[in-house]
Amino acid sequence: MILGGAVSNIFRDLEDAATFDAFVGDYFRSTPNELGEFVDCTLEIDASRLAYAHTEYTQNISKFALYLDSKDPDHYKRAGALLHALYLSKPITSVVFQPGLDEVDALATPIGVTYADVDKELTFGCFYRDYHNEFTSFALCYDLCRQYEDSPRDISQDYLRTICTYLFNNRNLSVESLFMLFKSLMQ
Amino acid sequence: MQTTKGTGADGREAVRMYPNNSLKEPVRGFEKVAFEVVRKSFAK
Repeated sequence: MILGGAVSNIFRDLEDAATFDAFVGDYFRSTPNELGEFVDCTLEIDASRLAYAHTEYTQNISKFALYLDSKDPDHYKRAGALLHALYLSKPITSVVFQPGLDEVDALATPIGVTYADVDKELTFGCFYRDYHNEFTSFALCYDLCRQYEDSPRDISQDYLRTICTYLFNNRNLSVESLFMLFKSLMQ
Repeated sequence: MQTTKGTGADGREAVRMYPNNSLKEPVRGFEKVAFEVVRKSFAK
């Protein structure tokens, strides 16, 4: 987001509830268009869950502030705070594939994998069906964290899949562990 | 009574501060990079 020639400080802006609802909501709602090549679907996003995510985000920022003389957590901590908030709130409540997922699978196989060799778990349709909240939440936080890096680290599809599985399978992750995820990834 | 600096009354260590890294200004605009990873990794 660029305003008036300057890049807006989005992590600070997200402390405002209206900005959070607009920006995070738009990012989540954009997913079907962004991924239309691979999954044709419609989403339902729960506004109250987005509001809950904002509350969690600001509380996470406040908790980090307790451990900082500056009282102003850096972008790694804020990325962790936001991911933790979205990990808890799961804003996407429904995904409906059009047409059915079986046909989507046949159109979205990884490069170098023939249709005959396709393992269902490798297809993006199944991946997105299982991990839509985890994928979108991490994608947003990673994209935001990159804005603050002079030389941001790229990620692979394998890394994305690993993170989504990690977020899905572990229901008691701390905000500090997710902060460390971004600090370790980017440095 | 002599106390050890950084130790609370309950015997637990007091809160340790993280390095004092505060939020700086972003250096680039917002890009949907993660979606691009998906596009590069999967093909019709």
